[in-house]
Amino acid sequence: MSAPQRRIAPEHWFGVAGLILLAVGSYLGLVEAPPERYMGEVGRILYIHVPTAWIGLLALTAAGVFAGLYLVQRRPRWDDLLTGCVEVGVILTAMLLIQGSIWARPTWGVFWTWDPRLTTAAILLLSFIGVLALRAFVEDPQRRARWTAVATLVAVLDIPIVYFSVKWWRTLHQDFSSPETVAGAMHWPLRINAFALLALAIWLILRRARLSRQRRSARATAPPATSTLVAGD
Amino acid sequence: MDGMIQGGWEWVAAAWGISLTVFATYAVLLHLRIRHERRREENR
Repeated sequence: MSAPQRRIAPEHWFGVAGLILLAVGSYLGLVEAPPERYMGEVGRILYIHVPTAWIGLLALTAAGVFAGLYLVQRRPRWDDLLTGCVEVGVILTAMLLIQGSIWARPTWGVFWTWDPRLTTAAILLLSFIGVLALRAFVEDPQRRARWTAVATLVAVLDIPIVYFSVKWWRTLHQDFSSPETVAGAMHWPLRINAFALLALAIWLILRRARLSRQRRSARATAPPATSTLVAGD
Repeated sequence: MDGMIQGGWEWVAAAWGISLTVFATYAVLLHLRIRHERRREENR
């Protein structure tokens, strides 16, 4: 009798699509696109930086939506997805700040400056690291989910401030980009990499939600004896 | 061209390389956490 085949988890298709799109977008951005008129080759950093910003803010906004859904419906599923969105959003926001610092050195002359866009983005990262830290310190699953949701709703208040900071304050950072402000040859790497990171972010969010589900199931079936250590979340 | 920053591929390589490394490291660690949890469940 042949061994039972393990089915491929459906979320992996997002990972496959994301990797293919990232390969295409990276080729277009690093090879095909022309150097930018003033930034030269350094402008190629924007083909990963701008999509990272879009998808990072989207993941953290989605965390806010799942936090609201959890507080209203109290379904563990929303807490699983909320955790995934926060973790992936933190990774993307950390990547965003690293890319921005590397881009700033040859263009602005410094790795970091207390510009409103940079400062509000750094506050956003620290706020969501705080959400994850808070989560790690609460043992009771219901209380942990409730506190995470409330802390997330507080942290997401910074998202519109990050987004509109370039309009509200005098800033070194560029204004919003739009198809009218980006040359035609530079559209495609930006768009394709944005869809690549979106697919990869969905993949990782669903994977992280799966981990939370596994741990909840382990807690539910764990024997009552205290000799067994079951991970929190 | 006048006013264009010359060179700069090292910054491009650093930004892309660090970003992809951070992202891939998170994906691998997440995979290991899931596998660890699955094995613990199977062994129970």
